[in-house]
Amino acid sequence: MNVWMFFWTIFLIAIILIYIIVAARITWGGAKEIGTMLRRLDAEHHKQKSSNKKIS
Amino acid sequence: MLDALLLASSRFHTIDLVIIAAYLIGTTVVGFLANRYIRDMSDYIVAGRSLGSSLGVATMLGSEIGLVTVMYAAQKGFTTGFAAFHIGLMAGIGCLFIGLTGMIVTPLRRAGVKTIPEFYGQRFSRGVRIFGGIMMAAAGILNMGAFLKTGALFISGLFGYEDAWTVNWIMAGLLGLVLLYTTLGGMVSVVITDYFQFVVLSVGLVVCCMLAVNHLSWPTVVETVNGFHGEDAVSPLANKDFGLPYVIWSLFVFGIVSCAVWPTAVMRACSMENEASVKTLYQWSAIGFVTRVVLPQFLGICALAYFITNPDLGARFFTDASTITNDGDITLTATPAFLSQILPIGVLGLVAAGMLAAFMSTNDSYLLCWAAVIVEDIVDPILGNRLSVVTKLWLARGFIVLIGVYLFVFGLLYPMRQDLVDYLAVSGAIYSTGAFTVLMLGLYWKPASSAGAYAALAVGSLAIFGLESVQSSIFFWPEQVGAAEVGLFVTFLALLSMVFFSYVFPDKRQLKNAADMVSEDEQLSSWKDYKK
Repeated sequence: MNVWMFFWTIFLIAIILIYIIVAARITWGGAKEIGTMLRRLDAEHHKQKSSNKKIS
Repeated sequence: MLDALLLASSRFHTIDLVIIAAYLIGTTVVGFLANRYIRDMSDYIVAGRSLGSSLGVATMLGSEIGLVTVMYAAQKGFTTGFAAFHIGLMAGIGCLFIGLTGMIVTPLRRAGVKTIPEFYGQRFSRGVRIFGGIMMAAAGILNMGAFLKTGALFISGLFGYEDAWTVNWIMAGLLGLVLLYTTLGGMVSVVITDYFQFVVLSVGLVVCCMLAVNHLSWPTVVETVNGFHGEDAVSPLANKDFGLPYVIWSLFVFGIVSCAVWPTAVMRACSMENEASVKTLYQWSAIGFVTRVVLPQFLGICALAYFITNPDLGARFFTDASTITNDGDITLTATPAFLSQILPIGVLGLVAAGMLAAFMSTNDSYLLCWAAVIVEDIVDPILGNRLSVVTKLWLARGFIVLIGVYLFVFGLLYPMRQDLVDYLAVSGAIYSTGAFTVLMLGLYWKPASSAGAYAALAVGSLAIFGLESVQSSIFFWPEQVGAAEVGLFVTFLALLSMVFFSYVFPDKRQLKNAADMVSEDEQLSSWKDYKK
């Protein structure tokens, strides 16, 4: 096998394995962060709504 | 589009259609729900700067792994073989470098800007902001022109349809969906949908690669492709389509520029909750910048091996036994046609949904980004920054629709004469070569002046000579000068002109390095201290 071909083979296998690990971590962490972000936005949304009511 | 033989043997099933429909409906519902969180332009454009590192990486990769990326990478793998892997390798190295050093992106986040031209306005002048905004929007929208048709070609290839009308209808349908949830929900809906799209895409790409190898076997792929391309198939330095200038150009365009200068990626950096998460974002994204290119390229390589070993199905992709057709529109459909032949029922639907996800996640971010630049950096400064928040939001939505109409017309009329990856790199370079210079020197070089910034941005537009349709209209254009050589030369020229004009026409007020600018939070806390 040519040196370049050997390099690309190892490269491809390594990239796929690392990507699986990284993607799993991001999927888990991202799910938690979406929850936090929506809760924060929801709280701000309600806060603004109640202050609008007070003004009116 | 596709041969009748390919159409007859496509495995698309009703179950696949149900999966796709469920996905599309879910995405649109998210857009509707996110609409209630939008209160001002900051919520609409940068999701109120609330992204943590994991969500930031997911949304960055969800946007940057677009269907267009999948298509151009697969096309490059199909036409050039394993040597094309160097593009992904260079992209990963560039992104990791940005992540480790924080070059450009950290000071931009510190400056508290929403868009790059806004930084031009802070650092140079209102005029530079408007000029930079015009250059950015023009080049970006030109770059985006190829997106819609490419997406439609992929979907029609996967479904196994052949006529141009079907492609046009798919274009219209895709466009309608993206416009609907982007105009409604802004960045909040983009972030949430990008997250799901990242998950679907990641699973889809890895599963496709495994099924492709399982179908063909690794030795068959290597021997067939290397037998077809010869030494060119593996070495980027020996390959006639690449060479050393192209490798350097890849590092610059797909590495540095696409993650630190390209506005959609920079918008993610500006959406992060703090500077530390900006660096983390880029360090983790580096692997995604590699896979977004390498995995689709590998699918393209497998498609080549498949159609060489099944010459009846692949006749349209070759002009003779040893040559691939020059028609870019045809080579673009090779990978979806291959996938429609090998993926089982259900998986085909998941992959189609994943690719639709890829298409939508890229287009929503890009539409939002260019509309934001037009409103925030061109229209509002020209009108003396007097627009109300509500007017800005409606204007941004209006421009999103207008850009959508342009995409549809471009998809109908523009013939793709060169590999899609080269078209995208060159059209992007019209903006990015000048912007890279202005950002680098504006952030890290005190004497950089407004005159220098104007000069660099104007010179950067010369990168348009890298487009093959422009080169072919100049009868004396030397054959050995390609897109990479033009791009590298224009980058050097932009740097040179900015330095020259900054020395000859310096700004009257001397600014400190913008990299040292204090953040909005620090300004706020020092103001509070002062009031105490």
